[in-house]
Amino acid sequence: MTTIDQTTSRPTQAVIRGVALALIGVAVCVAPLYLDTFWLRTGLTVASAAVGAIGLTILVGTTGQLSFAHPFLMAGAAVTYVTLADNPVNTAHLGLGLPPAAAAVLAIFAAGALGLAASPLASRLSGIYLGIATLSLVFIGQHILENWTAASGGFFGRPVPPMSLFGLSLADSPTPPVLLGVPLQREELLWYLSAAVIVVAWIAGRNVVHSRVGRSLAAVRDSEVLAATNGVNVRSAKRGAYIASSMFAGAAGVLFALTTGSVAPETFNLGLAISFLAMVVVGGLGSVAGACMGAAFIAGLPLLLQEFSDQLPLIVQTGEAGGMQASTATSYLAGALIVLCMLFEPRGLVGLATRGRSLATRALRRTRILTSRATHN
Amino acid sequence: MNAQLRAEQVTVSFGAVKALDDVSISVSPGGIHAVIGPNGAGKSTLFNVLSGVYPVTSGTVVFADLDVTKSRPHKLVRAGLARTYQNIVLGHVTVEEAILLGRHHLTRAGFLRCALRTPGARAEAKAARQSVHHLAEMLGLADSLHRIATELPYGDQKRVELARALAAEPEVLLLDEPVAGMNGHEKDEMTELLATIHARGDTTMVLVEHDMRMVLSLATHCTVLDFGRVIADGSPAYVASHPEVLRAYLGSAHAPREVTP
Repeated sequence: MTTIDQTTSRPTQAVIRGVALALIGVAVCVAPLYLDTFWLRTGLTVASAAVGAIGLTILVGTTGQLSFAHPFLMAGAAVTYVTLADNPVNTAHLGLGLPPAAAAVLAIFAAGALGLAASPLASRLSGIYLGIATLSLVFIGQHILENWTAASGGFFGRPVPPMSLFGLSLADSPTPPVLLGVPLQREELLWYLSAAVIVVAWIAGRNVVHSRVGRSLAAVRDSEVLAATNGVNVRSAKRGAYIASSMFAGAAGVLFALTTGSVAPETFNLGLAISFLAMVVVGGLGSVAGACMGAAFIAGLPLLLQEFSDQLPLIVQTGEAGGMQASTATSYLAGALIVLCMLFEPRGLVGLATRGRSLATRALRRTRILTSRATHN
Repeated sequence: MNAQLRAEQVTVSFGAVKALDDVSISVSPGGIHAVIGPNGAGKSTLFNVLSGVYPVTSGTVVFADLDVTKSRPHKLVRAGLARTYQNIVLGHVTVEEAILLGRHHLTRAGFLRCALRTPGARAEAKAARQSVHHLAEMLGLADSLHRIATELPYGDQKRVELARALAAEPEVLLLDEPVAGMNGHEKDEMTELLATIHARGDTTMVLVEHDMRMVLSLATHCTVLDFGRVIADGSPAYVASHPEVLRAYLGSAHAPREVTP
């Protein structure tokens, strides 16, 4: 039944998908030429969250290992990047003066190493106990960074040296590169970098989920005994999931640092950990597309509500009275959405999209049958 | 003795309860070895010991020069031991993906190669898919490959489990109650299927089963357990007429009657 549908409409589906991808690609490329800084910043924030969420959905959704450790890993990567890339002459903090691109790659590997170090937790604990253990990492990480001021800048944080690729510094400059008459400043350049990173993360994430490795991770989630008696080395599968997920978190941490322009240990807190879990649950556990949708919703919404607070009822600017702040409103909305997901669509936004699509296909088929009947009659 | 899988004087205690008490079993290559016994006799425990899932209190289990009790289960699979479960565990995946899991130990691509979809990883995945399709064809699952495994009828789910175990290309296949919960027709189909599979390859089969009719028509060797002890061991005909066995099956008169099916 469903199989027949898939086979008959596969070429059309591929065409539709190709056209859609091309349109999205063009839109992403020309967007920075038209959007103002607010929208670009929102996009950058969402992109960094999405990269992290893809990593988390592989760990929590596909492998079934509850983790709050994402902010810890992001902080590790962000501080590593800043420390490695900062010029030792100009900075008041620790700096090694490495090329920023190399520093970013090393920072991602550093996050992977942190994940590897944390992975033994998962072979001892499971479920909510594992979650609590990973939660402690967030507090330990914050404590270390707040006290190791030479690297992290302490409570006030430290500025992030701009990324530089092929001799092009991704920062504001008096002589910026110009594309179609539009000068490309910091936000525009970071937009293209983020777009590239998110494409790589998306493809890598999807490939892993739909591969031999992804199947073994899903088997570990469904039953560790089942996985083991089907030849899966459960311990190394979990370890791999931790390392991979942490490297995504590392990339997210570096992007986040570049976007905000300064890192402060305070940012990488429990709230962020919960936001990430909300992203993968709202998007649909185990789905890469869902993680991105969830990230857009959870990371993008507070910025939008804040920006348009004067046009929205109940929402006020920070510090004003007579309503709720954008971040509070997002918490309410996200909380409500999670409850609704659990009740009506455990597969999250992706599940909704699939439902919508199958409804559309069914409606299309029905009209086709009706029209063919009409012509026969 | 050239046993392929051997348990010697195995005892498994759960607290004060001895689930297995000094049990020895020797599976010789190429046969179909049935483990039978009333409820609570320790059949499933023995299975979990043989597949390396349960630790033993005392005794040894040897498979292909491996000490089963000290090996992690995935190593046993690599050495050629596969099993199915009495309670089906399939997860929310398509039939194709469920069976592909069985080929895990025959494929190699790791995280990096899977993420990059290198030509090697792709070729490997394609070959695995082909062998899964071949198996599905043989087990009559070809039309269900892209359906969600848990949405199939019960009998078909059992066959998906069997296909997953066969996909691992085992030398010894442990089948935990392959016809449990099936109706008469499904049972006959499954029995026939197992006989066909056994005739085609040189897979040794060990099966735990309640259904005496099936056991007697299929098995080449029987071990009978009762209260965690071996009470009889030998050919199906010998076992079915053994007085201890008859006593163990007291009240169920079908054991002796179906000696000559």
